[in-house]
Amino acid sequence: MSKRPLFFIFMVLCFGIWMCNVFHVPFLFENVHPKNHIKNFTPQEPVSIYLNAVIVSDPVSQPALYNRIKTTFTADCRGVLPASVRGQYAPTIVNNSRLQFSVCGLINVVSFDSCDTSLKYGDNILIKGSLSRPFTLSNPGVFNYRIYLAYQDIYSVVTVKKGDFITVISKNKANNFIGWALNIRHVLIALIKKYLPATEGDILTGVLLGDRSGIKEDLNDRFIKTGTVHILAISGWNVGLVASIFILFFRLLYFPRSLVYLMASLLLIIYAVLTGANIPVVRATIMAVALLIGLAFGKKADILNCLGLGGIIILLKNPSALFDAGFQLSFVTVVSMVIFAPKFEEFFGVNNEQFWLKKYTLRSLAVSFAAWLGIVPIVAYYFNMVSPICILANIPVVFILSFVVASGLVFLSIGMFVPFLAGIFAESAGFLAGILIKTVIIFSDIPYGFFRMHSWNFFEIVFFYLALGIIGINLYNKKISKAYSVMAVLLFLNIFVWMGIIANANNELRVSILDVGHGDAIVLEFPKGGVALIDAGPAQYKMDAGEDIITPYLLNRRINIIDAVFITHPDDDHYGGVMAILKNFKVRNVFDSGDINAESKNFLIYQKIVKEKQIPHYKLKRFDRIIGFGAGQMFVLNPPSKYFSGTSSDRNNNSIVIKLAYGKFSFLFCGDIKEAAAKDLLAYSRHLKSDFIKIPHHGTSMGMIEDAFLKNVSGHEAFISADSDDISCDLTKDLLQNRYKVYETYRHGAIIVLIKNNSYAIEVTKGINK
Amino acid sequence: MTKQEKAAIFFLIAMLILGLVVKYYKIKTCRINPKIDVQKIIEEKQTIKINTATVQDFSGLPGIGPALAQRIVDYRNEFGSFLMLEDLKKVKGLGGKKYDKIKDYLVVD
Repeated sequence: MSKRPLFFIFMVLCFGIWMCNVFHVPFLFENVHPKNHIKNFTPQEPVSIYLNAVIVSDPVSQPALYNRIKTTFTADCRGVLPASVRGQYAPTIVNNSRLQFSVCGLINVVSFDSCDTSLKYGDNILIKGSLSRPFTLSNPGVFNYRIYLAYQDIYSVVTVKKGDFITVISKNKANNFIGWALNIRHVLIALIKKYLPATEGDILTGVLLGDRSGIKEDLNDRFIKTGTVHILAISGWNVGLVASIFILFFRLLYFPRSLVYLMASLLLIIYAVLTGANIPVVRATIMAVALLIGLAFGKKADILNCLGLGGIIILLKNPSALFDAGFQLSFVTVVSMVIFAPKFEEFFGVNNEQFWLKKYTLRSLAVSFAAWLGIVPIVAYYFNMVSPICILANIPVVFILSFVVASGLVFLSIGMFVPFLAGIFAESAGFLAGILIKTVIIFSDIPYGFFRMHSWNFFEIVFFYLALGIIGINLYNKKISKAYSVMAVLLFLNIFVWMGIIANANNELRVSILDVGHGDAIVLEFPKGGVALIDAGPAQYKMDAGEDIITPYLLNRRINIIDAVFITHPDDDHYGGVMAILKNFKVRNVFDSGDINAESKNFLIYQKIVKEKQIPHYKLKRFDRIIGFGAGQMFVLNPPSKYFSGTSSDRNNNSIVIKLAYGKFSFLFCGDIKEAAAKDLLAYSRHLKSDFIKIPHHGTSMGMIEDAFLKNVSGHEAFISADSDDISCDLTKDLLQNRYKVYETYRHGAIIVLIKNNSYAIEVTKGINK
Repeated sequence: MTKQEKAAIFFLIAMLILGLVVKYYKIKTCRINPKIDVQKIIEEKQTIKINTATVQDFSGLPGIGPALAQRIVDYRNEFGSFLMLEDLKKVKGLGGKKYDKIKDYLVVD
């Protein structure tokens, strides 16, 4: 303790902040928001405003849907005015501060095409756009964007679309040093773009400059699966490499030692700002600078103390950082390496090893394994996976990385000052980056290298670290019996296995209507363990409901096998996510309506995957009954054996409609049927009668037949899966008149219906007011 | 290792094996095997549309005489179209039992 005071203080600080969060005590350092914080002006529904703000982040531009360019940045607000004021006042707002409401606070701005795309850090801008709370989908246990932004002290978003604008009033209104560093960053990014091929260039931009936005999703996934993604996120390794290369270079030029260390410290600070100053790089930079300054004055600093210093500085500025995934991964990796790497090296006999290659490999293995061990629970918690291949993959990847960074730095330095030589050095940097990529691809293809699993809960995490802690004590204190380590590990394994058994031991049918925006995805969990999925939500440009929502939700419910997947009809917002589901889970049967979507390439891919995996595939039609779900029986009420044609929307009217009878309750899942099918179904009114109904077609009106249809169903609870309050007024009226209680995914997030033999309960993910 | 330590370790290993056994037992036995049982659950007897049928159409049904048939049509003329089959029960003389006998022949239109 006394040997490492800073580390000890840091641990106490972490514990204190955690306790404050657990007991809901406002932190002493918490961001207290004054009355004029923009979040107090942000309404539930989007409102059009004029906003005067300063850009405080490096704007990022990406391609978006419909050939638009999407630019995102964070801005610090100065003044706001509702846009009900007529447009001619816009220029006066800028000059006359009396016309504005003075506000403060950070917001995110998302702009589609309609702005001057040369926006930069430090620009004072006037925005006309829509102010609203950040949009997020709410599903239990799945990443929530709104909470993520809240940890960054951002509670509002301004969207700038067609008809809106952003104009630059003046420049350089933020920190000039940061602005200068970011200018250099842009020059370097442009250099890489100019001289290197696309994929290698994107990786080099990620590795050296911390910009991952250009890296293709598929390649990024491979880095995540192999646990090597940290090299793309400017972490300790990158900082260490940059520092080492810089120091080596100047020492070779016989610069005095202390001077080089101090120069390196300055360079690292610039580098941190240049790469976006995220928490891991700030941590690494503080540690490195502390170490270097210590060395410059002849003292050898202690790693854990430097780590403690970094942690204290970061937490004092922003206590919420404790809950940031990057913070947790970054700090735990270092602590774990410091504790376990030396002991593993001893175990492998590294110090007695003569052959240099074997010695290096064993040492790398020890360090890699030590780092991996510490972050297993954190990776499982955030990424739903455990990746043993990470231990092996990091050894060659980190080795090659040194050369990539070295050649990359050479290329950038020369390219900046001597442009006509840039091309030559680009070749080698590109070549090495290519080898790095190929290595990662090889490791990510190794079967059984990683496992998807549920997000670990509190007990699993605590007992894992308890076991790790006891093993650590055992390694350093020979007097304590080894039996305790064995017991701790066994205790953890027991907790792990038994929590899994308890979690799924209940006697109810669980129907989860997930929040996937505009689309449907409903999970049915039967008491004895069977699982069915009705529709898989949409899969668009950056959001794949199958991959991003349904997969984590199912994994967290400890589901690995899906007994039946139903695709009600071939619309993108219903089957889009099914590819990810077929890929990530063992699907034992697929049911669809037999209707095909001849226009969509994705539908052909879906059919191909079903065929390749040899999944039994059935077409459903009216009068089919599906048995085998234990207490649950499913009747198919639509489509009829002769498909609808000539209706307002044949594809929707031919949706599969399922009536689920469970105990004394029944649930009607209506797909996307419209007037024609609803009218046809009235003939079978006896079978329409249900307690619960999933309203057809995301709450759009069914016309004249609606009232009769709802009356015939005569249920109690109605569920609508939609992405906006755009539910038809007629429908709302009809639902009210027919005495339904209505739940919508837009307002309530994911809705869970728990049905027992004689009773039921309904849980929502968020309250009525978003 | 002391006796107590050995006992504790043995106990934990036994619990672990028990847990694994229970877990794999559940996996093996609790999967569902959905099958389509193609069965005509609904026989197509419905032929009479209750909102356009005449008195004669109704009198053809089992247990419905001309007087009751007339009352059905009168009710419909007075209160408007039937929205659901069950609404027929509101007609005087068409109670639960009589209704149950004829409902399979009827359809809402």
